[in-house]
Amino acid sequence: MGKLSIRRHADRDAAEAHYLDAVDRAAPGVPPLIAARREAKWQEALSGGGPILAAEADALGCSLQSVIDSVTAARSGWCESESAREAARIRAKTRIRHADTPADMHRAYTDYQAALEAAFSCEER
Amino acid sequence: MTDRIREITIAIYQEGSPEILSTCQCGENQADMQCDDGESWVEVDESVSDDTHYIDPEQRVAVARSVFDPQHSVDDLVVHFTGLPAGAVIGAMGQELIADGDDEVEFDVPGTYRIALSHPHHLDETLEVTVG
Repeated sequence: MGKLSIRRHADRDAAEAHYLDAVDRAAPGVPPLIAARREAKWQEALSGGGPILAAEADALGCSLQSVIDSVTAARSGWCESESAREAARIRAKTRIRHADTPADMHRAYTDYQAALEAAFSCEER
Repeated sequence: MTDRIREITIAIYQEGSPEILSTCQCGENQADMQCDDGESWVEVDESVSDDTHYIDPEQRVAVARSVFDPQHSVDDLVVHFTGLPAGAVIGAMGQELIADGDDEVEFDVPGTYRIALSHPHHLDETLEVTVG
């Protein structure tokens, strides 16, 4: 019997390095400006208000408390989804480190991608 | 009055090999000059090309390459071929295997891959297979 073995990775360690890197690159990141704005609004919400939230309340024509409640709810939702995403990332990397074959590593990576797609994404406020 | 030299189409091939190296038109008395050492030629019609025909060196005729009829099955990461003619070339991701009629291509990672099949007597074919 003729047999041809196609190896996309030189060895197990090369495959592990590839998939660990792929998992990190697939992790969704928040653009720095949005992350900074989100944090500033959260800090204002914690201290009962501030110029950004006041401007938002004015723009929306609602009370400051309403905006604070909205930011708090968004923060809570983001924390939940971020926790789920981070747990999925750590699980995927652990599976890859423990995998015996590149095929198993590939499956851990594709499962992680599926988990990311399924994860709830928090609406920006 | 001189005889007019007939213009012909020839296929040039390496002696002993079925593969057509090139085709060209020339005067009948110039055909030998188109060949390098170890090469020979046969007269063919204009439809003949190296993609679609091969040379039967014993009969010295161009024969149309037939369609491959590859039988393959996929088992996890392995593609199994049966019935490929001996000498067929199986190629995937830059690597090749000379088929013996009962052949396997094993991949280390799931995915969709292109597997090329070639043989002088058959038209080249590329399969797209998903493994894993």
